Amino acid sequence: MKKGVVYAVTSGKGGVGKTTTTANLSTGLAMLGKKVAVVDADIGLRNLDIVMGLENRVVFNLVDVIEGKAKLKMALIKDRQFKDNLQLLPAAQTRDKDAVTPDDMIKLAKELSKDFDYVFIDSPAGIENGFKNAVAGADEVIIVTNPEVSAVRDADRIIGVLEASQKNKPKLIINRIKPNMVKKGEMLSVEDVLELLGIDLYGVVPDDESIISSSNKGEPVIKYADAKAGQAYLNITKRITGEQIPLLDLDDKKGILNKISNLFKK
Amino acid sequence: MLKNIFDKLFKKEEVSSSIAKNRLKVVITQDRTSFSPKILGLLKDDLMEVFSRYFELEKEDIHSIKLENEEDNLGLSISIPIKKVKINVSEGNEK
Repeated sequence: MKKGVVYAVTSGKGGVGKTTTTANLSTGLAMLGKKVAVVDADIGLRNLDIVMGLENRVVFNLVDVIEGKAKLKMALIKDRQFKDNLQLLPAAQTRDKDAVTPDDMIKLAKELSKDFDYVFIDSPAGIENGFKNAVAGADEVIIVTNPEVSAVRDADRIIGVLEASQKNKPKLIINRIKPNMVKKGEMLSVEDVLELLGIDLYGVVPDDESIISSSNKGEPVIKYADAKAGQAYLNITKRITGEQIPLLDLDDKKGILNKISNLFKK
Repeated sequence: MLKNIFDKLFKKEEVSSSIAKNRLKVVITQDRTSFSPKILGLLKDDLMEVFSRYFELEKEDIHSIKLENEEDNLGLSISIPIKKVKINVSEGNEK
């Protein structure tokens, strides 16, 4: 019996913050009391474990499970803080992407969604097999992009590929936006990106140094309520659970922090 | 004085975000509408079949077939040299 919703997080271009986004949204949902499984589908470039601070506890991986060398329950690593409510299936580090097929991923996603409220799959960059595997079993796709020409172009390619498959329309997260640059007209705005890509917005995450310092410690930034990026991720998390949350005001000045941004008029 | 001139020059310059947006508009449209060679071949064959019902053509005679941006719309432009109209066919259809 299917219970949970399966999300794939993808981007086309590498380095836009897919893994950070996956780690934060899944941790955020666990913070809200949901039971979440996270799958690192970036085979050969395992990263989600280190971003989530679980790298020392990896024993089995995605490929072991698919090849039947390990039971799914054995391979899942429980988060230090959230235990049963946040569990990671790490990627294989020494295998290539072809060790997994879309059918394997569909089966895995089905299996996980029996026990978990949310399943997050972190996709590798690109539009090749690794990406196809990651989205194969997903009910919903989240595209992460940056307000930069190359990232936006690649996001559009992903949207095109997804249109051809019969998925729900993907939702967009614009990551690493710098409000001061947008104000000066030196960075694409949220509205610009939405107009170009023509999909719905899930949220906007500001460029924030705390992302680096928190991932240094293996703690997703969403655990830090005073970090702007953490707040932005928490808002997206709540939207995933169905809450209506206005976009965060990214203006740096104090006092207007609680002012509702009109960015959300889309 | 010199500073004023500079200021004026720089103020008139387009901000880089609108340059980015315009470049992306063009490149995204191109990406979205690029034909794969396979589809192009299929379309050519189909078009040849239709056109040769009405016109006398040489085989493989489509000179060019491409999608082009015309302001906000996308247009398909085809160039086919015609030898002559097949008269009996066109008259037959009018009856």
